[in-house]
Amino acid sequence: MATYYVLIYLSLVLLLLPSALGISNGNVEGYSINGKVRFPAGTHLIEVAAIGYFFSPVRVDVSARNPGKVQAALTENRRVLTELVLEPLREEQYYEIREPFSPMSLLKSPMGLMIGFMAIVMFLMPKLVDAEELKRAQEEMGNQGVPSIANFLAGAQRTN
Amino acid sequence: MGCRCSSSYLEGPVQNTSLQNEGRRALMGCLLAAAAGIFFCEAATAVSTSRRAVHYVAKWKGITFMTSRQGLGVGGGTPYGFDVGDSERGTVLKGLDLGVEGMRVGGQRLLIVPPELAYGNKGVQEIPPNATIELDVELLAIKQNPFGHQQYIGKVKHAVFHTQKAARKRVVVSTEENVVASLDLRHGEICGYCHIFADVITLSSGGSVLRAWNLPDGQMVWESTLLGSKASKPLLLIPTNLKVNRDNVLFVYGNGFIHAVATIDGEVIWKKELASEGVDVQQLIYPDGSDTLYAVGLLGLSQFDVYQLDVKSGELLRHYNMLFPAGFSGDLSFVSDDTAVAMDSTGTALVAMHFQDGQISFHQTDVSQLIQDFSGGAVILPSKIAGSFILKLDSSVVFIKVRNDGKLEVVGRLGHADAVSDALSLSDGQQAFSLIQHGDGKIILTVKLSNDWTSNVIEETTQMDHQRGLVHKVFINSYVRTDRSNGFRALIVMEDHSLLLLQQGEIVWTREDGLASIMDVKASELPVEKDGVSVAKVEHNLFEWLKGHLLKLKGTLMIATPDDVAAIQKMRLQSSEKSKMTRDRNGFRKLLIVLTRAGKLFALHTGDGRIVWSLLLNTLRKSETCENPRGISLHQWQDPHHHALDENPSVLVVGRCGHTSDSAGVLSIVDTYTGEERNHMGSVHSIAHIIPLPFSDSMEQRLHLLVDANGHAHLYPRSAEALGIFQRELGNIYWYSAETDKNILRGHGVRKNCVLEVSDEFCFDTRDLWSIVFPSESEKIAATATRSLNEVVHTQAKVTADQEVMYKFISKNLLFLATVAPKAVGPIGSVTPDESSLVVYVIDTVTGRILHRMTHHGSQGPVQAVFSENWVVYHYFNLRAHRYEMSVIEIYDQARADNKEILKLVLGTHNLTSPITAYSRPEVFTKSQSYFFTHSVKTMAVTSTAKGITSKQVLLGTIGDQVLALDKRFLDPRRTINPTPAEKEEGIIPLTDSLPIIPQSYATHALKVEGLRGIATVPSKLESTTLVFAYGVDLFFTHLAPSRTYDSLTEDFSYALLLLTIVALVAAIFVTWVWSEKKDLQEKWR
Repeated sequence: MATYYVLIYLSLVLLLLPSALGISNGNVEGYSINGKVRFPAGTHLIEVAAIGYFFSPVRVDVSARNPGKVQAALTENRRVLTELVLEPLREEQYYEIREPFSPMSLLKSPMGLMIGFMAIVMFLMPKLVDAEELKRAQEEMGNQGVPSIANFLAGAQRTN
Repeated sequence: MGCRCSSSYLEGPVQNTSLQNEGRRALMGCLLAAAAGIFFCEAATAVSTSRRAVHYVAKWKGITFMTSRQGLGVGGGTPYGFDVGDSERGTVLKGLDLGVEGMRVGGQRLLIVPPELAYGNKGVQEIPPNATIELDVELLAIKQNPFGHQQYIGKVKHAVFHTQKAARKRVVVSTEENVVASLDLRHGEICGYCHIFADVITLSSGGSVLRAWNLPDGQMVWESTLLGSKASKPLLLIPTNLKVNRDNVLFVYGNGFIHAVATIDGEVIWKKELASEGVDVQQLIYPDGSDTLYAVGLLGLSQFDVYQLDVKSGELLRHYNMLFPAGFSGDLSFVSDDTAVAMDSTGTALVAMHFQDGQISFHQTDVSQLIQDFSGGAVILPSKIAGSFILKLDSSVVFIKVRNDGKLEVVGRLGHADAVSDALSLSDGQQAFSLIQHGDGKIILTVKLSNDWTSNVIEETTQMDHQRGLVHKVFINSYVRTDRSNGFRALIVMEDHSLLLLQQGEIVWTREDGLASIMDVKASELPVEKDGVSVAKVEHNLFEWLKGHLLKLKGTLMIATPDDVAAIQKMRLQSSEKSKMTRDRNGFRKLLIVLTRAGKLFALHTGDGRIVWSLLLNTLRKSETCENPRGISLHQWQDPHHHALDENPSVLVVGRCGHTSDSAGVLSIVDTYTGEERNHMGSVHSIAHIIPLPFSDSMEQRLHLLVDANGHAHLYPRSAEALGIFQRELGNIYWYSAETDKNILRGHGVRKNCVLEVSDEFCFDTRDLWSIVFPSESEKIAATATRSLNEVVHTQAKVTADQEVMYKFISKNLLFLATVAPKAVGPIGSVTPDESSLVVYVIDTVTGRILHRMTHHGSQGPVQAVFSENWVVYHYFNLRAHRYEMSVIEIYDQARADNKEILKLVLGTHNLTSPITAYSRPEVFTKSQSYFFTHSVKTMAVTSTAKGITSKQVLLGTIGDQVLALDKRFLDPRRTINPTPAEKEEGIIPLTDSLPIIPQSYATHALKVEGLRGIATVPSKLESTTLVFAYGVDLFFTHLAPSRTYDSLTEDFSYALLLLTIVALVAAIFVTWVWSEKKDLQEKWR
């Protein structure tokens, strides 16, 4: 392989970002902001590590036959870079946003469901059953009466 | 965080210079903090390594342009959370980060932020460039990160004090871990924002990369790559007041060239090659005020060369040399601008060299003339004392003055010194230096002036912990006392790599920087809590507990007063029973036993990360029998679970006396509760492999087989019982060895006792069972991975959506091995895709049978792999796509595939526990799939839980030193582009070509584990939770729940709400009872 080197001026868009610049070829790994990096001819991969931002690795092809010819492309979306300005693809949010308090979350919790179900049974169920139908049913049952919680509890008390 | 930046290959010196950089001063401009309304005295103050929640209103010229106070709730809006030091990473406004420093919870501040600390000259949205903004900040909460994240720097190589002017004093150090750090002199912290306006220049990578760092925050100002043809010793010279074209200049020698570099921007002003004649330049000298630069060096070991260069242009003015026929040994020591000293090749005579105006003269003096009882073995210590040098002999230290005529004169002699500092120039033109001598449990620091060798300026004795060993380095610095005399402080580097600052005989602070170089980690249980708990305590606790939950509920309902908020905060801090020294029910509290490169063992508490005990192992200290000791690994020696519970657990520390595998080994057994060494064996046989066996004796001591370089296996512990167990299991013991250089994988077994001159019943001969030779022209072993020994697998079979059963092929003896084409061993880009291929194997290590082989064409290393249960995940580089790739292989048992009795499996009557022998030709089938992955990976690990029921996550150490927890479900070979509804129900994710990186799944969040090297996972007793410890230069500890809330409640689960619900239900029952009673009565009256 030709030992021909190209000096490439890399610039990171975020000026105040202390970031590590890792390059696939061991001899040019370094720490650089707007740095000059020397690339031998061949294909390289530049990875930018910066907390809070997502950078796509950049593929850099340095031509051995054609001195000074450099091609660069983002590997994530295959976009060709016309100049070596490394831009973050997106910001990264490392923390999940805490859900703000809402009454719905209270209702959705197991306890909320329990209370809700009970409320439905207590207030809605009697209304769903037609009053006349209930009467007919009671008559059919004869003198036994409606088994109610009151009877049940009273019965339970009596046995005690 | 802080002003620490790691860089590669830092070898050169750190030097300090004062760059004229007015702009930077302005940057650290004014920051006005006013009106800190303090409500609570006991509230925690904001310190570093904490996360803060604030409400803010940002205004520009009175117009509010951004606020967190808009939105729902009484307090309004969602508070804004950030970590201290986030501004360094550019995620938070610097002004906000700095401005909340020292605030108390509940406090309010108005910050006037200059543009440099806000949006700078860029402007954001409606904010114009260079706008001074106002921030109205209220600090709502501080969340401490107790263990979380600890920062270390490693063993200090060079240190430069920075104590002029007012403000905070600091010391800039460079370390063996390639870190440049600035430490606060008062507390020894890696400082965040100390406002001193000077810069640091470092030279690294063998003198080819020059970097300037800005001191306040450690940001790099510029970097310059200096080209050259030949590797050489890097030199750096920074003249105090020399200007070329109005720029300050520094000179660098590296790679055979002298470069003059402008200090302001790193531009190379001129360069000159000197190496063409093969001269090894040893010093650059610039006499103040002149315009000549001297480069002095040696050609071969006998010719002394001097170059004179013009400082402005780099033109070679003069070159002269002189031959010293006897030859020199070692490097030159410079005692002044025109005199150097060296030992001659015999080591018995000193040569003083005088060079000036083209004249060189040698003066040879025999050491025995100077010192009567000289017996050889003298070394010149580098000390930079003007006109003198220090000669170290076997038993004493001699100070020798060089007179103008080249004659040498002994001016002082001391008994012995363990470390000598460089000379320090004092304000009155004198030079001082210090010596450290060891006493019994203490060290004696003496400071002497260079013109008076007999008396001491200071002699201070300091008590010193035995566990720190000897003093390795000392750096001194002076300060002016109130009575105008000189005081001295000394920074000392100990044998265990810790860093201490001594002042007036006291240790001001200590940093355990040995922890920056962890070699191995093992987790150990804590003692069981024994004493009972009184009833009163329980009642008290119950009341407190209820009160706490009531407060918490108030907090969630947002009806808490500021007092309550403070009480909640306080409770959260107190309720952390994390730091107790006993076991907890969930198994979160453990001791992490770590072995550092210095040969010191530390026990770290997982609760708060404190050091419980530390032990400098004598077996791993340098001695006459053991020249280059280094620790290799830690092993669980005794782990009492069922019986022998009175015994404390212990670990086995294995080390070697040299760098090769045939050097003598050392062993130590250390109690993990007390940190005491129970037993040690120095200089035993060599240690090539350590094989922990799956057997333990009645004391629950794990049997270990140590294989030496000659192929003998030695059994430990050396007891009759262990021998009995071993001989019973003799036929079932197998291991393998991968010889990377020979490209051979071998399987071994034990034969019989070895035949030695001295009979040893614990020594066994080994036999080779099988071997696999990889073709050396096309394959080279790149990586291996095996399952962790104590991994638990819960389910042996996988039931797919269409009622098929796939039996996992689970064997302890599986090995994953990857080979790459020999050409592709180099860095990425050095081969074309056609030349390179990666071959992966899954091999049974008992029989040597290859169960699976697969070739990835056009791929190359570095390969990182992790093996767990019946699957392997590995990471490599795909040259065709020019992207990193990750692949998964899952291995299933074909032989049992026909066995479809699911019902039996469910009922547990299925005969899965029938003995399986590796010799029964396993019929396996594998499934595999590959995915692209964005980043390169430094290290890989897999989560481990107590019973292996919950799902797994693959932990990846990324290039940005973060730990990414990637769910194993993404690495499932059964993923398809369009999964059927049944498969979707099973939880199969639709196939994508690359693995997603979800920022929330970074286990390290916004933190960085600088220089990440390894990740260790430890199961807790709670099945859902695994403990993760990541180490590099920094340490990081966290809990991960790969299956979320499997057997634990969500964090915001409120017990009070549960109680309330029960109360409400009971009340409702009574109400309905009363109602129905009334209704009944009415019915009856009707």
